[in-house]
Amino acid sequence: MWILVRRRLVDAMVVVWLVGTLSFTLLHVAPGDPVGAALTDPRVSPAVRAHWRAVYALDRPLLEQYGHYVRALVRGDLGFSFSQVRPVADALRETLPNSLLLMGLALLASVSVGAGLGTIQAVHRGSRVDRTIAIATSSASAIPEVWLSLMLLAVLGAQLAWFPLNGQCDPLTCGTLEGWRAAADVAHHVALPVLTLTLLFSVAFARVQRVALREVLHDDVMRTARAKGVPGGRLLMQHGVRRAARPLVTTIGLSLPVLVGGAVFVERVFGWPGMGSLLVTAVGARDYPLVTASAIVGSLLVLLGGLLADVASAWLDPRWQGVDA
Amino acid sequence: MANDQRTWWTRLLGIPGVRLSCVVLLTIVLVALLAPWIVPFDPQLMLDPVALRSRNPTWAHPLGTDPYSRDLLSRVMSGARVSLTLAVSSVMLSTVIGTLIGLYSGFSGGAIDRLLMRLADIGLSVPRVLLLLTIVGLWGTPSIAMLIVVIAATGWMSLGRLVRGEVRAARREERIVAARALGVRESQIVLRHLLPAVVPLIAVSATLGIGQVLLLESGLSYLGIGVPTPSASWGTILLDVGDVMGPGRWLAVGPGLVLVITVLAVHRLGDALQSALEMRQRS
Repeated sequence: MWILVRRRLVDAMVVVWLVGTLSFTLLHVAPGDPVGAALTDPRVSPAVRAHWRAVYALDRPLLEQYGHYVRALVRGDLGFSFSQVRPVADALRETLPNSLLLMGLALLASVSVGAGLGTIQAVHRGSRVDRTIAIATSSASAIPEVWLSLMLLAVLGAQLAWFPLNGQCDPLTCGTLEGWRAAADVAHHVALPVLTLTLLFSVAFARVQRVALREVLHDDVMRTARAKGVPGGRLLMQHGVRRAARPLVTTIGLSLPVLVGGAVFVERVFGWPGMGSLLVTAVGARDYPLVTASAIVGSLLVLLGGLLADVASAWLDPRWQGVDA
Repeated sequence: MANDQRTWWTRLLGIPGVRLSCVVLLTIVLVALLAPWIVPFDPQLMLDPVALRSRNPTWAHPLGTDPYSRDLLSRVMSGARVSLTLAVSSVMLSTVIGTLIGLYSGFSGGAIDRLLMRLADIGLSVPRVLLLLTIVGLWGTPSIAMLIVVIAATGWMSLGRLVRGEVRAARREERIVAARALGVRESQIVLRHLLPAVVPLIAVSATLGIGQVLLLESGLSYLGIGVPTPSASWGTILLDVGDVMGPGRWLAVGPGLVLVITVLAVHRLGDALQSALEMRQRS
């Protein structure tokens, strides 16, 4: 187990270093520099530009700049956002909870819906229900996130007006509501983005659950239990679903990168103020520190989730039971 | 051998949905190739900014017109050219990279193998969209050629891993051991014996990869960091008609369906290739 954790932690450090170095290199290979981009006005004199270049240490040798940059990364100093005029950490602190809420709910819904569908398929193996769900799930993976978001927004948001079109809370009452009314408002706003992500991502879980449960349902343990007269429902829940949980947990870990990627698109379409929206805005504004930091934090989040999934899956492994976990 | 291949083809075409997928894909490829000559209108031309702004489908404009009064059918047709070129070339490139790295890693073994595969693992664990956003965002002005390179550079890992695994397994086969013992040069072993063993893997992965990149392009272009405007691609079209509050609420339906149908066909073909190849291996 500890080998696994250590491996993931090393991976995390390598990712931070790679993404950091990548963006550092790109910044210096790409034409122009941040100061040039921020002060494009021809009336700004070369002396002013040189001053700011010196302030940001852009006039130093490349290797020294790189050392500077890496030291800051190690300290956890994410820098200052040009476009938001505040430390990058502040911008992330504001948007990260929103993204976590969206992705957490989406993941929860995807796993539940997916596992439910997969269970139905495994129990009614080969039936019309099984085939219908199989067709539906294989079609869902061909739908672009952006288009599905737009379609749901057009039908459920604009046409039927069941859900708000944009943002995180009602602009008229935002910030004035308290307690459960505020929560209900946010829930109303988050519903469509979560629905979009769930439609797209429950597919993977349905597939895995179907295969895993099918195998479990037909092995010796289940046959013995059935022979002993364990009732059908309990048999399915206690023996079947629990033992099929491990592949499901592994799939959660594997699907995190895709989920985070999908969330970027979905956040953008629904105007959800999360890290994805922040990153896209930062890219548009050429706000380099913000871009780099969001990419690093997003990747770390995925690695951390992967680590948790690894640990959970090791813990669920029957061979681990009773061994030091 | 020839007979063997023919049965393999008939088997592939016998899988339900494969013929239909082939017809769909051939049609789309043909439209993409001939687009400059068969589009009903110039895809960039603003036909009538007042009367034809965000118009719903009519006989003259079967998919409607976008907010800039350009004919959407023409844009979808010429967009097919851009989107397919992007998808096919980036997948070709990433396939070459993945195959080379997988072959090298699997064949050499040892520290290089561990390092490369660790890199692939790390690459797989980082969200591809975040990487692409960072690279394209920092580079500044994206171009189609650059997108192809960047998408390929972030897409080789899973194929690399698969090829490497296959090579590791094939290396232990008796015919490879025998070839070695006979003193066949290493490059010959790789080209003559190992590469053919991984061709099926490559075919499946490349097919599915094309579907993936088509989806990815639509997302990236919607975010404004994909195909640069005013070129039409399937993603930039979604960006143009993505205003669901305005009058053209339903304009995204048609172009989106074209994309979904294409990806469905690609997926179907990829899955069928896989099962046909599995059948062949079993027999």
